[in-house]
Amino acid sequence: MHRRINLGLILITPGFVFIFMFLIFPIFYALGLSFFNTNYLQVEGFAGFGNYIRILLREETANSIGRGLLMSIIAAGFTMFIGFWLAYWVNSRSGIMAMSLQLVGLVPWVMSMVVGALLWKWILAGDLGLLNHLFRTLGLPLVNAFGNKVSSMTSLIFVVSWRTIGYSMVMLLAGMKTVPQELIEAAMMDGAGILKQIFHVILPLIKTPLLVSGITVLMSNINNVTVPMVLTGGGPVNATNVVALELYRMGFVNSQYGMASALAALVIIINVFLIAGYMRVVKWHF
Amino acid sequence: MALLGNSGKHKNILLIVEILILLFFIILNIVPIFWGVLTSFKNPRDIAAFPPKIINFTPVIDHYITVIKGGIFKAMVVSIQNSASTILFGTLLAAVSAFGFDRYKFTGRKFLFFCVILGIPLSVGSSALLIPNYLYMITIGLTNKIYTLPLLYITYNLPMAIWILKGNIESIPISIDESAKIEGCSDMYIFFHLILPLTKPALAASALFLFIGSWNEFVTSSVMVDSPHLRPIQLSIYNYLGFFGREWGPLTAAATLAIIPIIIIFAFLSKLLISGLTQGSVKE
Amino acid sequence: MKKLLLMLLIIGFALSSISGAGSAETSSVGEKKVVRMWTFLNPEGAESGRNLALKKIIEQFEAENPNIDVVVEPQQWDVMTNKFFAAHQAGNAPDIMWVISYDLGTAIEQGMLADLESLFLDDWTEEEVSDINDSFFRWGETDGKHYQITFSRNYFSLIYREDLIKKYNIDFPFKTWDEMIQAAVKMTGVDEETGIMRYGLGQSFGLGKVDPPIFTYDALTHQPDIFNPDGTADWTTKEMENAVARMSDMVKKYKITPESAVNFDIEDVYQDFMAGKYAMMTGASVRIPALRAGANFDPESIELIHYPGDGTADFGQGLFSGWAVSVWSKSKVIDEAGKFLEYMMSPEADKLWVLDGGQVPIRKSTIPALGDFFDKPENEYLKITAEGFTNYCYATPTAFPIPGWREDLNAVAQDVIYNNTPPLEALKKVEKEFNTRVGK
Repeated sequence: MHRRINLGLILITPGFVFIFMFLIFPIFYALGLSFFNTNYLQVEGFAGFGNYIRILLREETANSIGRGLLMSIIAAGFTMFIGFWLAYWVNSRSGIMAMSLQLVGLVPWVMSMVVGALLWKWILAGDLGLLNHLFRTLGLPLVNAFGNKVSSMTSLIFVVSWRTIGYSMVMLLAGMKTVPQELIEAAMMDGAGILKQIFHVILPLIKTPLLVSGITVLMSNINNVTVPMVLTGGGPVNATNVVALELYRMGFVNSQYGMASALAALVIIINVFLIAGYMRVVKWHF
Repeated sequence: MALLGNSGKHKNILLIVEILILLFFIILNIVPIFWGVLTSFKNPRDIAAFPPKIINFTPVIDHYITVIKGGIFKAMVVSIQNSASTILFGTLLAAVSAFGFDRYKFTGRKFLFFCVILGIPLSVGSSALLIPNYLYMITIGLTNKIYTLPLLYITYNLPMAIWILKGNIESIPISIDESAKIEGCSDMYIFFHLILPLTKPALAASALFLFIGSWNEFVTSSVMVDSPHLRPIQLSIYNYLGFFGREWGPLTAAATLAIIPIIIIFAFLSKLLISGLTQGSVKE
Repeated sequence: MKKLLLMLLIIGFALSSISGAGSAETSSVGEKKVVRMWTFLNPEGAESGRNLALKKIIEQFEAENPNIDVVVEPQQWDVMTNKFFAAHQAGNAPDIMWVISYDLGTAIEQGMLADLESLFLDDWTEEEVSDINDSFFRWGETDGKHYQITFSRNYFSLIYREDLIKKYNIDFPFKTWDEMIQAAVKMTGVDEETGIMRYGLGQSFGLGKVDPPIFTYDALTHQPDIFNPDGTADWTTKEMENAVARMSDMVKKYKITPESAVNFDIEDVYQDFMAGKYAMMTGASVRIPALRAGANFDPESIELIHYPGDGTADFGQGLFSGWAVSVWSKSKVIDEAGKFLEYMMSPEADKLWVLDGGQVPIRKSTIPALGDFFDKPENEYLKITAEGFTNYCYATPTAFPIPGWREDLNAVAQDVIYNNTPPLEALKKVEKEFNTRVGK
C-alpha cells in the first residue's frame, strides 16, 4: 500500500537518532581507537593494523574466544531447552503453581548479577559451602566446584544458565499463549505424539519469541564479565577465561586499550555473525 | 495436559515425578535468594559460621539500618526517576518508530531496521567499549548530568522495544488503518487512537524491558555519573563490595531492598506482559 | 484505574527528573570554589570508620574555609584510575584524585599530577617535612619532587591466630620460611570443636580479586627487587624459582594449604578464615577489624606479623600499598585542591584517620600524640603495620608502568600447582608476557 513516502522516515527519525548517537557512533569511535597505540589511554600515534596483528598472534585470543563461545552457546542452549519445557508446563496449567513458577523463574534475571554470582560462589565453593555441607550430611562425596578445569567450566555454565532460564521461560510462555488450543488438540486427534506436536505445531508458531530470547540470552552470555569474574576469575589456569573476561583484563588490568578495542571489534563481528546464523536457523526474515 | 502425557494408571506417579522436577527447579532458583535474604538478617559472626546457620540464629536488622543510613532510599529515588523517564520516553519513541517501520515504505527501510536489530547485541555492552564510550560522552559534554543515564538506558533498550512493538503492530490488520483513512482520519489520529490502544500489552512488555534494563544496570552508571546525588541503586549495592572486601550483611540487605520494586512492577505488568509478547508471534 | 495511577506516577517521576536538571548544577556556581575529589570512600554513605573520618575532615575544612566546597564523587575502586586517565585526556578530571598504587608511575610520567612542592611543601619547615618523610612519602619521588600523599595505607603480611600458636607451643615469631611451614604443619588438622578441617596457611591464587602470591615475599627476602631498572620483570632468578618451588611444596608436600586454593580469590580466604578454616593467612592489615568482627573464635587472638626472613635478618619483606592522593595538574582550583590535600594530613585530620578510620597515621608525631590508643592490646597490629612500613616493606616501582604483575605471578602459581609445570618454565612464560606487554 502507498502512503506519503517521507512520513515513515520522520517517524523513525527520533528513535534512530538515539540509536545512532549513543550506540552506533560510539562503536566507530571505539573502533577508531583500535588503530592507535593507546596504552594508558594516551593516544601515542597511529598503529595501523598493529593491534589486530598483536591480538591475532596471541594464543590466548583464539582460546578465550573459543571458550566464550562454548560457554555461551551451551548455556544458551541449556537455557532455551529448560525454559521451553517450563513454559510448556506452565502453559498447560493455571493456578498457584504456574504463577509462582513464573515469578520464581524471573527473580534470578532481575536480581543484582554480582550478588547472585557471589551467593552461588559461596554456596558452591570450598568445603565450608552450603552444597558440600549438604553432601557431607547426606554422606555423599564432596565436590570441588571451582578447583579443576571441567568442574569450574560446569559451574560457570550452570550459574550463567540459572540467570537466564526464567527470562526465556517467560518469553516462550508468552509465545505459547498465542498458539490456539484447537491446533494442539487437532494434532492430538491425529495421533501426533508429544514431540510431533511440539515440532510441527508449537515451535513454528513461536519463532519470534524464540529468536528474541535466544539472541538476547546468547549475547548477554558472550558479553558477560561479571559472572565469570566473580565466580571463577577465569581459572584454574585460564580454563574459564572467556573472551569477555580477557577483554576486561586487557583494558582495565593491563591498560592495553588499543589491543582491547581491536579484540572488542572481533567480538562484535562474532556477535553479528551469530545473529545472522541464528536468524537462518529459525528462518526469520523481516 | 501433563508433561509426559496421560497414560492411564501411571498418571498419578507421573504427576508426582513432574511436581518433583519442578520443585527441584524452584529450589534451585530460590536457594541463592533465600540464602541472601537470610544472610541479610545475620550478624557478622553468624554469617561466617560453620556449619552454616539456617534457623539457629537471632535475626538482626542492623544491616538494613546500615544501608538505609547509607542513603539507599536516596539512590532508590534516583533510580525511580531514571526508570520513569526511561519507560516514558522509551516506549513512546519505540512505538513511534515501530509504527513508522511497519506502516510506511521508504528507501533504506530494510537497512535502517537492520541497524536497529544490530543494536541489540551492541546494547548488551562490551567492557572494552566502556572507556571509549566514556571518552565520547565527555567529548560531547553529556556525562554527569541528570539526564545522562536515562538517555543511555533509553537507547540501550530501544532496539528490543522497537522489535517487540513492530511485531505487535504487524499483527494489527492493515484494513483498520485503511477504513479509518477512508473516513478521513489523519495518520496521527490512526496512530494515537487506533494503533496505540491495540498495542497496550506490547507497550507493557517494552516497559518492563526498559524498566529492568535501567533498574539493574550497573556498569554504565559507575562510569557515566560522578555526583553523589546522581548515583542510582546498583551503585549503592556495590558500595558494600568495595576495596576493603565484601560486607555480606549490608550487601545482601541492599540487594534485597533493590529487588522489591521490581517485584511490585512485575505484579502490575505481568498479565499485560504475557499477552503483550504474544501478539507479534502469530504472523506470517 | 490502577494502570492510570501507575501511568501518572511514572510521568510524575519522569518530570521530576527533568525539572531537577537545573538544580543539579546550580550547586557549582556562586562564589564558592568547588573542589572535586574522586575516591572509593563515600562520606555520605555507610558510616564505616573511614567514611566517617573523611566526612568529619571535610566538615572541619569547610568550616575553616567557607569559600571552598569539597565535593566527593564516589567511584568504583577498580575502574577509577582508568577513568581518571580518560578524564585527563578529555580535560574533565577531578581536582583531587586517589590513584591506585600500581598506576602511580604512569600518572606521574604522563604529567597528570601536580607536584606538591609548588602547592605547599615549599612553605613547610624542614621539621614538618621530616614528620611525614617516610618510604610512603618518597614513593613516586621524581627529580626531587613529590606527587602524592599515601592514604589508606595497607601492609600485606601474615595474619595469624595467637590462640593456636599458644595451643601448639610454637616458637614465635618465625625466623625462617621453613620454620613457618613447620608451624603451619603442626596447626593443620581437624578442629576438635567445630569439626572443620583446618589448614595451617590460607592463601589464594585465583584471579578474581588478586593479592600478590606468597612466593613474591619469599623471593623478596633474597633478592632486592622483582623488576629490573629498565622496567622489565626480573622473575627468572634462582631466588624466584626456589620461592615458587617452596610455595608448591606448601600445597603438595606439606598440605598446609588446600589444593583448591588455585582458584580461590583472596576474599574467599578471608571469609573461611573467620569460620576457622585457617590458622594463618596471607592478608592485609586493614582487614583485621572486619576479621575480628566476624570471627567464630576468640576475636582478640587475630594478630599480624611480618613475613619470616632468611635467618639473618629478623624478618623478611611485606608489601606496602595504598592510595596515592594527588592533585590533578590541570585543575582550575589547583591551590584550593592543594589546600584540602594538605588539610587531609594535618595533625588533627591524621588523628581522625587513626581514631575513626583505623588507619595507620601519616605523621610520625601522631603515634606519640595518641600514645594511649596505640598501647591498647587490640591495636598492636597497627604498631606492627607501622613497623613494617619502616623496616620490612617492599614498594612497587613507580619509575615505569607495571600493569598486571600480580595477575601474572598468580598465574605462575596456578600453572605450577595445577599443571605441575616446572617453576622456572612457568616463570619464563609470564616474564616474557609481561615484558611484551610493557613493550620491552
